[in-house]
Amino acid sequence: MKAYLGEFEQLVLLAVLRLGDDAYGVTVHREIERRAGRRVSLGTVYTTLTRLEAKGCVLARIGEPTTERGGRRKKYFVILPLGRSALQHSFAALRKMTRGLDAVWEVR
Amino acid sequence: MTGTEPAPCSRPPKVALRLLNLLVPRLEREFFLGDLEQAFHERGSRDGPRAARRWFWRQALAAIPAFRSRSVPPRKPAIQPSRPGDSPVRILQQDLRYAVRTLARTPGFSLLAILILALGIGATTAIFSVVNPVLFQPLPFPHPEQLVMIWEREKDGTSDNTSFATFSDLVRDTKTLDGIAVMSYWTTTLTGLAEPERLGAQRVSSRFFGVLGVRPELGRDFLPSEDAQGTNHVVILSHGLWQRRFGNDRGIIGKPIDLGGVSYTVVGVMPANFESVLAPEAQIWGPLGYNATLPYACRTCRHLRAVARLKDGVSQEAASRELNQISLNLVRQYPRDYSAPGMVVASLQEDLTRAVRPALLAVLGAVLLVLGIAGANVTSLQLGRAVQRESEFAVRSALGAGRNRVARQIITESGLLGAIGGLAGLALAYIGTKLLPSLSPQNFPRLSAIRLDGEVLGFATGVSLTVGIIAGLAPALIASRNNLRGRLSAATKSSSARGRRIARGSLVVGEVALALMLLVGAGLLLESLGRLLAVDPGFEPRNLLTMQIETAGPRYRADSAVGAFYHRVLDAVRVIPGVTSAAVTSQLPLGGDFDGYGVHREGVASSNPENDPGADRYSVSADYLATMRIPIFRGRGFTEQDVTGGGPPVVLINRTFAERTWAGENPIGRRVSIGGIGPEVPWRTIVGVVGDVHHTGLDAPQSNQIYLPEGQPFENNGMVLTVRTSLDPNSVSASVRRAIWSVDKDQPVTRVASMDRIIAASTAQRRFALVLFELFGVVALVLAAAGIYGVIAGSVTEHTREIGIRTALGASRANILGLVVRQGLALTLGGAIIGTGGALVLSRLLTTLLYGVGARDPLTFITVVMLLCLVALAACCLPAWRATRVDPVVALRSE
Repeated sequence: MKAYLGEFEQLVLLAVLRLGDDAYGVTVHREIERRAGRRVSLGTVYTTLTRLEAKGCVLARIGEPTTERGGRRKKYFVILPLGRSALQHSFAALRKMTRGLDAVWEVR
Repeated sequence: MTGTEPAPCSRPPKVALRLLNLLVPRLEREFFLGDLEQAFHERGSRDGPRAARRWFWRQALAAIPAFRSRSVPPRKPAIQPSRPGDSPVRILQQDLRYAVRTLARTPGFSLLAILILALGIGATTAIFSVVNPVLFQPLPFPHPEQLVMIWEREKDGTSDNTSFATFSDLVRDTKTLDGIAVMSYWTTTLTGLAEPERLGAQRVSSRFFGVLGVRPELGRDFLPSEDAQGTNHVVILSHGLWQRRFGNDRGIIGKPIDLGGVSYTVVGVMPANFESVLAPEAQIWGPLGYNATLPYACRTCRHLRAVARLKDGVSQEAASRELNQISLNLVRQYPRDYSAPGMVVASLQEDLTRAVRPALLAVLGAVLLVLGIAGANVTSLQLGRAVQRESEFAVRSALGAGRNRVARQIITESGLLGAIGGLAGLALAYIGTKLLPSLSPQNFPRLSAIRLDGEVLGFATGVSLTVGIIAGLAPALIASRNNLRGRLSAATKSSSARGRRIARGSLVVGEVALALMLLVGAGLLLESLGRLLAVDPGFEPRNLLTMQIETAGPRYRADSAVGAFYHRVLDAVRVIPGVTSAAVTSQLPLGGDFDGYGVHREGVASSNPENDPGADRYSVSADYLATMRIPIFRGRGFTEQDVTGGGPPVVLINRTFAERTWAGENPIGRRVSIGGIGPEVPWRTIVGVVGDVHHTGLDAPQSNQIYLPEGQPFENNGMVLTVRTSLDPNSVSASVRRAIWSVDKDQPVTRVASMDRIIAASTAQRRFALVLFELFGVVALVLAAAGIYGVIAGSVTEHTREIGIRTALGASRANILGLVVRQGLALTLGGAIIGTGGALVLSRLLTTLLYGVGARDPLTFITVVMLLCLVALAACCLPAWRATRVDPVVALRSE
């Protein structure tokens, strides 16, 4: 089975990959904001994570409650092999499509 | 990420939190809100609490589209408890949506229920479409309630036609009638165009259309001055004839057309929606053109029908009183021209429909019985299904559906079944409206008005919904009562099952009862028709071909030309292979026409010729008796000499006339005068007594009959050719027609029919009722059998355990079989007893349609009850056999 990823899903997955075992709503959101300069709502990040979970790209794990969260627990995400291969497919496709375009389109 | 101390008094905005609580699915709420709050605090320590609160709000609002657009919508509960704010329309929408889903889940049940309902509703709608214009719809004229027929009252109370003289006196004297018109039948031949065509027509007095309240669409109505001899060569065409033969030519007005060799001027064309209820076959109208000096305008020449319109505010009774008074004066003035004083004023609608009313009401009753059986069947089916849905109802009420809501749901489902069944039924009814007219008796009134119009559609809608909803009432009631008692407990389950069993049992009893009433009706009608067809018509009807032939046109002004034509036709027909003899007659027995005359006996003084006995008159060729095989009892038949006019005027009479009038005497040699006494009416000598013939119907009382030789003299412009054949009469009809046209190719040949067919047509009203009763009876029998089968099969399934125990305890197969069959027969007998009671009451309504059999004929009743029991037995067989196959081990383990 193959998972196809939307552009925002790719960003979220990459953030999860980068964050290792500290990937949850707040950190993923911050990572996307800082690195990609993309301003999105936490809700969008959260529903995307849930969707990726449903697709089998990420696995969720429930963490401990903390006071700063009003006593609520965290939901951590780690990337699954399917998510990893989906990312690789997307990236490979992009690379193939951009190969040879350097002459007309300066890639920084 | 952690470790930032929460600022005091900086908590996320409460309202936004509450909004998110509503919005975010419960499973994810904790983690998402935790994320939000954590980020909120981070923002607060960086940008200050106000900025953090603004941010939190923005996030909360942005979460609305994010969570709303999630791909998987939350599953709605199957049935939502209605909230007080819900509009009834919304509730109905919900119920309907759920009903569609439920019915689609059990397609077998749904299709069966829809089929049964479609049969019941379709049959009812088709019959209604026939009955409605005849019995219920007002006639298509302005103020139809003012239209009446006027008849002269005979001494025996029956109604008779009126004469021109009486009509003229009524017109002069009446103050209660707004207008009165007389009419007579007319048939004519349209000639001068491509091929001659025989047309049904009507001669009417000038005010005819005015009395009905209609006007020609093109041209004008008849003028009073045209209603006189010499000036009456004008005609009005029907819309259909104008379209068909004159190609919608608006210039036809004022042009001449040729009718039977005479030129007539077209003065008008009737509108397409004009329905000729008084002469459905009429396509052309001409003025009567009488004046009082004409011989056939005499006071005793009663051959005109009169229609009249009451003045505004005048009741039928008032008109009747006035006309009776006028009649009394006329009888005083002309005592020798009337047998009794009195006029009959009858509503036009009732008058037209009187003949078919009994058959129609019977058929309407029959179809309502079918509808009742169909409804009972569907109710029973739903009760059966409710057993399987018990747990569904229980779960639903556990989830908070009130008992009304569950009941409403069942009724909605049932109503939906009714609506779909009604739609399918309309398709059936459409076919029915195409087939029924061909099945209906010849003189059926308002045949052209039979169609699926708005009223019929409204009727079908009403019937569908009513039957659908009523069929859902009992299941709904039982289901909701069950709800009240408690939910999933086994005890209530069995008590509601008993309720359903009793309900289904009663329904089957009802179905059997209704089916029995129908079958008794069908049986009585079948027996009647059988006895009627066994009546000897007085002649041999097999291998007899008949047709109407004419002598139209100026060539046949002289009697000798007419006589020569018929003789040449008969000679030409007799030599056709397969023809054994041929004859002509002015009237054909059972043909639907009649020609009555008063017969005055020589030497019998009577003060009033109207008191002379009347007789059917036949003007026949010499071979007529032999061709028809009417026996001669005394004296002789006609000879060629009688017919060709060489001998003295002679006459034959039938046996009944002889016995009634010359009881114990020999009528041979006596002289009679036919159609009044006077110098112009010859005395005729009776030369023979012949067999009785049924003329107006096989069931009619025997009439007096007289036969005149055809040439003494001619006054008919048409004769019926009767041909005795040795082959199938239909196989020679083409050669007979060719033989006629070999004599004169311009003469139309019409009403070609074998005598068998004419006899069938004369019994058409009974046949119409019988065919429908048989059809409905079969449907009823099948539905009742299906009902019995359903209940017994359900009962066997329910009692599997009990049957298992019995088998385990040593009950034989015969015991088990007997147990099941007894149950079925008990229901059938219950229904049979109730049905017999109902049939005893209802069959009396059929009396007018019965012949030779009583409405309570015991043999019919016994046969029908036995038939029903046999069918019930057959219906029990399969479930009973299944019961004997119950394996006690499996049955005992199942619960």
